[in-house]
Amino acid sequence: MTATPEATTIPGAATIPGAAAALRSGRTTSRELAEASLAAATALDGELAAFVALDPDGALEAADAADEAIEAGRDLGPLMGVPVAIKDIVDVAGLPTRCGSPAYPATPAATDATLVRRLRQSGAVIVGKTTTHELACGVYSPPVSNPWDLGRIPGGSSGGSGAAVAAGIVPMAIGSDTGGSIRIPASLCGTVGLKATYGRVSRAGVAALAWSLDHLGPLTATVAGSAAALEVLAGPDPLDPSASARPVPQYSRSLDRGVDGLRIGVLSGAPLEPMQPDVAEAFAGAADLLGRQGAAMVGVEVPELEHGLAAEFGIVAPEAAAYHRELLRSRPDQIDPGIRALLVAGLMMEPEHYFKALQARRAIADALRSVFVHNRLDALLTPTLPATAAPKDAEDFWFGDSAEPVTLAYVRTTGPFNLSGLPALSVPAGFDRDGLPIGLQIAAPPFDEETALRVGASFESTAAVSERRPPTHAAGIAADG
Amino acid sequence: MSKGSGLDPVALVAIRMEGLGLDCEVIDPAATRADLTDRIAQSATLDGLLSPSSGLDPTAFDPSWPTGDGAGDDPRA
Repeated sequence: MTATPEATTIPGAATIPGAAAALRSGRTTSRELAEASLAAATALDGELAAFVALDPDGALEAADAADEAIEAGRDLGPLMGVPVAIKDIVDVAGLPTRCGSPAYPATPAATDATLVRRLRQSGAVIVGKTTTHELACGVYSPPVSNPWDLGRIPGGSSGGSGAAVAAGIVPMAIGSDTGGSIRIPASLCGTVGLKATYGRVSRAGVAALAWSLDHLGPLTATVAGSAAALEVLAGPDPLDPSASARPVPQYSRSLDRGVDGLRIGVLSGAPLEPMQPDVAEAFAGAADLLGRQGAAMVGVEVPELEHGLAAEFGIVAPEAAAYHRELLRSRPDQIDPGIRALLVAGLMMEPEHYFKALQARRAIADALRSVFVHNRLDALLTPTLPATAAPKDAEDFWFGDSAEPVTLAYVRTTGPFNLSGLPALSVPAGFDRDGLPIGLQIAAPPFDEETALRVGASFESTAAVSERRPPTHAAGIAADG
Repeated sequence: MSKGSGLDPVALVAIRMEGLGLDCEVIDPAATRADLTDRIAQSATLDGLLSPSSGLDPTAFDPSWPTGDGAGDDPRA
C-alpha cells in the first residue's frame, strides 16, 4: 500500500481540535484525513505494529458521510470526520475482537460496543483496531515499538493506541486501564491519556480484565482532544450497570481557566520511590511550573499507597481468573505463561485473599479521600511512572543497586487510581537524557475530570512538551515521500 | 482421612489443580505452588493496613466527597 502523505501535513491535523478546524474551514476533507491515516498506519506498520486490523472500506464510508454532513451544515461535534482507532479488546461491528490472544476467534463482532456506537454517532471515523498486550494484561504490548525509540516498549496494555497517537497516525485512540493501561503508554509514548472516574465511560461490549478495576478512555495528542473525546464517550448506559447516570459536563469549557486559586497536592513517598532522577527532576519542574501559574502547591504523603500493588494484584488475579476460567481450562497452552500463572493463582487462592484485597482497596481509597479533603485539594500530582520506556528485552529496572520488575514499577504509581476509581490524567511533562518522554499524572476527586483536564491544559500550555514529535511519525512519511 | 493427607505441598497443589480442572501439561504444580506462596506472602503484607472492621464497598464513592457536579458538601467552599 502506498502512503498518501499529503493530508498528514495539514497543520494541526494530528490533534482533534486541529483536525476539526481544518475540516470546518474546508482546508481538508474527512476522506483526505482517513486516507492519510490509513496510509500512515500501513506505511509505519513494519516499524510500529500499532494496528492489528484496518477497515479502509468502513472508514472511507464514514468519512464520506461526515463530509456530506459538513457540506450540509450539520455539526455533530469536535470528533465529526476525525480518524480514530479502537483497542482490540473493544467490539467494533464487522471486525474481530482478538484481545491480543491466539485463543480468541477471528469471527467479526456482530455489534458495536457502546463507546464505539457513541463515537460513530458523533461522526468519528474508525480506521482500525490497535494492538493490545495479550488479554489487556501487561505493559509490553509486543510486537509494538515505541515511536521515540523503536528498541523500547510503548507500554501497555494499550500500547498500539499509544504508538498510533504518538506517531500522528490518529489524533485519538481508545485504551483501557485496569492498573494503568491508558496512562502507562501515554506516559511512555508522550501522549495525553485519561482514565476517567470508574463508571464514567461504559464498558459494555468490551472484554474484561478485572471488572471492578476496568476503565475505558482516550489517548490523544492534546488535553483539548482528551476533553472533546470524553464529552462523547461519557454517559449512562443501560447495558452497563456500573455506568454512571451523572450528567456529563462540557469538559472543554474549563480548559482555559488556568490554575490560579486551585490547591494542588504534590505527592511524595510511597509509591513514588524509587524513581529515575530525570523523572524526579521533571516532576519537580512540573510542580514548580503550576505553582508559578498561580496554584497553591501542597506537599502530601499517603503512606497507605505502599500497599497498592498487593491490593491491585490481589483483585486482578481472581477477577481475571473468573472471567477467563473457561479459556484457562480448555486452552491453557494458548495463554502466555506469565498471564497463565496469574489466572491459575486467581482460581486457586482462597477467597480470604480477595476479600482482604478489597478491604485494602477501601482503606487506600479512604486515605486518598482524606488527603484531598483535609488539605482542601482540587487535584493531586504524581509522576505518571517512576521510569521512562524500558528496552523491549528488559525484565527489571535498576534503581541504584536494587532491581524491580518493569511491570511492578509502572503499575505502582498508576494502580492506586484504579483502586480508588479516581479520575487520573497523564500529560507529557518532559524528556529524559535519552530523549524518552516523561509523564505527569493529575488525579482529581470523583467525577471531577473537569479539574484534572483544566490543570493538564494549563500545564500543557506553558510546558509546550506536546509539540515535540518522535522520530517515527506520520509527518516523516511526508518528508521522506 | 481426607484425600491428600500426608502428601507433600506440591502434590496437594496438584490435587487441587485437578479438582479445578487445571490438570494439564503446561501448568506445572511445583511452579504453581511457588507462585502461590509468593502471592499469599504478598497478600499478608496487607494485614497491617486492615482491621476487623475494615469495609469493602470499593466503588461506592462517599457522597460527602466534593465532586465535579457539585453533589455533596464541599469542604473547599
